[in-house]
Amino acid sequence: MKQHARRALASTRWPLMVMFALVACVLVFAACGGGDDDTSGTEATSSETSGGGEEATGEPIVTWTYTDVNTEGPQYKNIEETARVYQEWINANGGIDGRPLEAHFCDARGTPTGVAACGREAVAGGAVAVVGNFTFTGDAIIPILEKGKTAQWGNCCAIAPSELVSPISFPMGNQPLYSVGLVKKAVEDGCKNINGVIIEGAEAFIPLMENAAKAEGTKIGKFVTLPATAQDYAPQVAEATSGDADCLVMIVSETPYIAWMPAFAQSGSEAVMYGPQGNFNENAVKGFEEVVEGDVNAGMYPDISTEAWADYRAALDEYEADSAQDYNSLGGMGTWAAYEGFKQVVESMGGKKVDNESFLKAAESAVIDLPGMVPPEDFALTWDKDGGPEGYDRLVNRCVVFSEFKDGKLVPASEEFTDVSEIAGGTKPQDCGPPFG
Amino acid sequence: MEEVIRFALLGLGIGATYALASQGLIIIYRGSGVLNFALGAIGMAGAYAWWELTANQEWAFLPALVVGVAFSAAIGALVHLLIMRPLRHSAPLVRVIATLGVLITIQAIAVLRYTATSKFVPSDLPTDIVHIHNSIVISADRLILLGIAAALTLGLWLFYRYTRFGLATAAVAESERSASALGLSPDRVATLNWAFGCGLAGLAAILIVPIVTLQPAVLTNLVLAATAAALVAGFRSFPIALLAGLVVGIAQTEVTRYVDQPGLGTAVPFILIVLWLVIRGQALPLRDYLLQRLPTIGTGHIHRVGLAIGAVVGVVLLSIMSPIWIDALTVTICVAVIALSIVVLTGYTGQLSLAQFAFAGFGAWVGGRLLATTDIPFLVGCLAGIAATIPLGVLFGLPAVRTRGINLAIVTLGLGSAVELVLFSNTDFTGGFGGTQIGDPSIFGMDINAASHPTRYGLLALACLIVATLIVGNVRRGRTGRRLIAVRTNERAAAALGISVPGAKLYAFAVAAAIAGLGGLLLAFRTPSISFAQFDSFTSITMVAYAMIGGIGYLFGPVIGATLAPGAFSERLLNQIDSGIGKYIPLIGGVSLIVLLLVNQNGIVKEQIAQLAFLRTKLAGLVPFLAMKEPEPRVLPAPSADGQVKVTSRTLEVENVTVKYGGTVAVDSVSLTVKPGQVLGLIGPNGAGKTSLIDAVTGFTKASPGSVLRLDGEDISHWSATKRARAGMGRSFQSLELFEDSTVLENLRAASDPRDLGSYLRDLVWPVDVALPDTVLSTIREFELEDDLDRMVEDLPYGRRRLLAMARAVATESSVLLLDEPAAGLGDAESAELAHLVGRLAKEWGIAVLLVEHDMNFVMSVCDELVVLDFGRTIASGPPSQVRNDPAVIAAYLGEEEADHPPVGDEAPPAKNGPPAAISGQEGS
Repeated sequence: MKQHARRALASTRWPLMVMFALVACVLVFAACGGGDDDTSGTEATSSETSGGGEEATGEPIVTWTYTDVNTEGPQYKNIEETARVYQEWINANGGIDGRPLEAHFCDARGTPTGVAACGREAVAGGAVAVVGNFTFTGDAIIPILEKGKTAQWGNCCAIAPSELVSPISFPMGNQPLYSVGLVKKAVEDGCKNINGVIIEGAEAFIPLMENAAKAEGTKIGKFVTLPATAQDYAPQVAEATSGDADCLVMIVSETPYIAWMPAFAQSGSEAVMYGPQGNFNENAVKGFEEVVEGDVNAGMYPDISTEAWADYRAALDEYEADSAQDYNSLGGMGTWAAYEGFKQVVESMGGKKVDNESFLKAAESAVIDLPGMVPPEDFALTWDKDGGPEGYDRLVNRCVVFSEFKDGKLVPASEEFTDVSEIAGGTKPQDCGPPFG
Repeated sequence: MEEVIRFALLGLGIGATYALASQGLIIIYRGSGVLNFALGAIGMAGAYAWWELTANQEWAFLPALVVGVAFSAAIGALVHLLIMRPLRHSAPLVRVIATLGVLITIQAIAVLRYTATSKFVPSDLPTDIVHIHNSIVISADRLILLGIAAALTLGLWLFYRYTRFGLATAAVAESERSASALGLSPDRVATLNWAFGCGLAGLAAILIVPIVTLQPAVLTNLVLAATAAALVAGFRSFPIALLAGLVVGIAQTEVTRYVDQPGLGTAVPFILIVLWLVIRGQALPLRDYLLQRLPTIGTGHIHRVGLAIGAVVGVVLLSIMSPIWIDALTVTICVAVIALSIVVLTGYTGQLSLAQFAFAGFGAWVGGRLLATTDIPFLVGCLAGIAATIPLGVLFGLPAVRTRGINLAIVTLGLGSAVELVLFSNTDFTGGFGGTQIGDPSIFGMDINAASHPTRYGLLALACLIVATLIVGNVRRGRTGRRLIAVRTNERAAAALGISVPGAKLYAFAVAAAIAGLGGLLLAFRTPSISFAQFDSFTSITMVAYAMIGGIGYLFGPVIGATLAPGAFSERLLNQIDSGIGKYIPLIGGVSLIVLLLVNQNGIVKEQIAQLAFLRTKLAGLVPFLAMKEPEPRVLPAPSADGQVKVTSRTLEVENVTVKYGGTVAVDSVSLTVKPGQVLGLIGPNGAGKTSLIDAVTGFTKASPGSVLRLDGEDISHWSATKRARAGMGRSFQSLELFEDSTVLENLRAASDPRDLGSYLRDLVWPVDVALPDTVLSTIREFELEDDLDRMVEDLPYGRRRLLAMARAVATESSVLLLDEPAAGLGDAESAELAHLVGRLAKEWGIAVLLVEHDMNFVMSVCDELVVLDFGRTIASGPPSQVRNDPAVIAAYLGEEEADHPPVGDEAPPAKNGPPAAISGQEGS
């Protein structure tokens, strides 16, 4: 037996050695590509200053930002990059209330287990709040943050049910109401035959869209479900464009959009597509610029080219944000806006002790004023207290903005926020603030 | 109708991609017998190489295509030479898992280098719209792709049919040993086929990435669907694979178009897989079913002190660690519970299931939905979830009755994928936008919310793991375990002992499903809002890998393997060491898996057991209580009464039995009768139909209509093999077919255990070994096996194995014993002893013996009557003295010429041993 085992070992030894050599080469190969994305968890040096502002001093204000980066599903490295850039920019410009920001990042890896671990890290690490996050599995972190009395502050896209109702959740974006905005815009643009295209798993948007269509005096012809795994979408394109559809209202992520575009272009359809900000973007339509000319994008943040984002644009440039990422997006602008909102809340605390509990208390009555980024947001007046439907309690932002494709570039299509509270099922409109254009 | 045609045409485009991928699968399977899950990843690697050259280096399409295809081919050849070749004698399970390791490794490298995001790649094929009729339009590239798939199919068909290499591949696919004997190198053939198949995958990938985008995982998903086409083609026929691929593509598009059920369209290939295999499968494997070396299994004995220490350590760790570490430990425990289900199903029963995470998810789904929508207590919801998973397990197990090995793996993967796509991915079934919220779970009023009380939840999970481990250990040690292991080792032998093979398989599926359901509940309920997306089919495959790494046949194996799961102990540890390591975890996992399989397929635990034993031996001098206890000598009880065994007397009547294999008649209208106390010899040259007749009589081969079998006058022609065995028809096999990884006593117990259904349940809690019946005690003495009872069969010398094979058949208390060449390979003295024994079994025990034997001394000394077969027909029958001089018999053995000068008197033909046995040893007469 021993001899047999020795022989067996000997017979596997040379392949093993060759394999180890190959693995070493492969690691070098892999490390040479894809940029310097050390993303699993970072801790920034907090009090460096390189800009022209006053030096931030004192105990750092600790935050956590989490999203999915190292995953085979959708990735949001732009969120990680924006958090890093904001930290460096704000610390170079006097910090938050004079104190340095220490923004930690946690990669949730697209799993509930990963995001729960991020929540535990944040609570254990003494985070004042988790800021500007996004994952599809937010339900896994909210109970941990509730237990830790830590706010989830300012995220663009509350998608998990608990993120929309938990008292520690303070979304600054309007997810999922941009879908209502898309329907509204399609109707206003004169679409006669509207079909819907929904990525698998996002079927919950359908009732909102149907309600909106009904409120606008029309109906959506049919909904086509798009398999989440990118594949040959020609059959789905054929079905979606059938029935003389002149407009498609689409709730689809960026990755499937990339696979959708060639099939759509090859179908010869001239239907106008209406898609969500950050997903129906310049990256998704690359190579099909002519096809999407005039197509519309609805979202929650005005285009990055507008005045309100001047600091953001400059900081991305100055702190060398990864150029492969899309910053004119929900993830990028959403995280920047979240940190700016966070700064306002901390500064409104008037120099009192800033920790998770005091921040949570302050956030409950915070009024955020970031003209041109988001409409005025009063967290004392959440939607459940302002005539909103059940299940969307924490939405204080019900205003959407529109962009459209011109020569392959997204350009602003509106100069002010559009309220969709009522057609989404609420009873009172929201004040979306002055024009930002 | 136009709409139907339009969508059918669109389906052709998808079908062509499936067809291309399935051709690659077939090539590799034919060349090396491996189902290559990594094919999509290898093809994708070629596509990335092509893309690097065209997009970054501005190469032209064709030269870049050649390099991309060559790159994939080189990877394929390397995978074979470095990984699959050293594993060529391993169980199919090991090789499948090895391809999984390759898949994980390549995908991890691709993600590290290119990220997981999709890249749009412009098509180099024309994409003009072709108008076929009115609204029927299709893009030109789909038609070209279809043309390429068809042309490649034709080319492959011609290549493999008419070239020397193609014929060599066919020869290797039929029998590697025979091919070697003909001077062909199976290894070279396999290497070239790996290169060829992977090169084809590279070509397919380059052609279809403009349609499906370039992304690390996208082609892997394609391969899973393409498996359906390859299966329908029997992993053999290229034209059928093309047709099947196109049908799958069309079915998918039509279902997507006309059935308003999200996920159903995507699930079409998987549903097709299940239907096809269930229809085409067989209840018992044929004689040419290759017995592969299986991973070793443990004894199921639980070291109480070790368990207590482990439990205390677990409790302490869960009590003192920070919540982050507690969660990592809890995840490890939950995954270990799920992996434990694989120990029962794959380790003990040999059923390769790739659906364990689907069971886990289903348990969580039932429990979660109940808790979310009713006011039932948490514990009741959990129990309901576990209970509901049992029928699903049985449902998934039904195909196992008719399929096995890799086919079963594919079936279970298909079923699991269908559940994932149709149930877990459909918000209609998972609570809509609000999802499934279970609130704060509590047990007996104690809050066990994992967020607010991670220690409590961790302790609950630990308790469940311990209970599940005890249950699995009980099953292993009880008679149920012997049944499962018998089925795992050799279904034919198990059936011959009266063990219900379908029953054992379904039981294993049911128990494994319940355990997996428990693990799924624990994993999912860590958060108050259940995420069903985590229960994907790909994770089911990695779950088997974890079990494999730890030790798929050992109770502690799952705990070791589970530490490698995402979010579990190892990941936390690596992140603690350096947070930057996190992104390399998939790569580390993939490489570790491959290395572990190459070094030790039996799992880490087996190695640890050996090391611990070594350590104990070394330390025994210093610490006496660590010394290994010598096993106490086994004392067998004396048989009751006078020790004289008498079996129930039964007469076997065989009337006009005919067996056909296709157009070949193996047995032609043979009739005979074997009475109690009689030894009837069935002789004839090789190929005469002797073993086929035994197979037909015992129910292992279907007899043709008109054949009649009676046992004590009762028609048993339509009984299953198991029912015939239980009625008292025992048999031995030419190739012994012992349960090699069990002890001698376990083999005998497997034969003599009562076949009551109650033990299936009782063994879960309290396994009880009944006293050995007198028949077995007498058998042990008659066959002189007393000193071998605790030896593993694989350690026995050949002669003892022969004896055991016969003893095991006798231990079933057979009234009729069918012995297939019991003396083959024995020396004269051993053979004479055995003949004497057979005679005593007949005369003294009253057994009716039908003996197939080439040793004529054996036959002549023991048989009362002889029946001689030649080319399936009876050519003579009667007492030995009459048959030995029958000219027809002499002619059959020696040929017509020799028959003209027959020997006379006692120097009768044939010689001691008849014509040489079949080369493979599996080819009977």
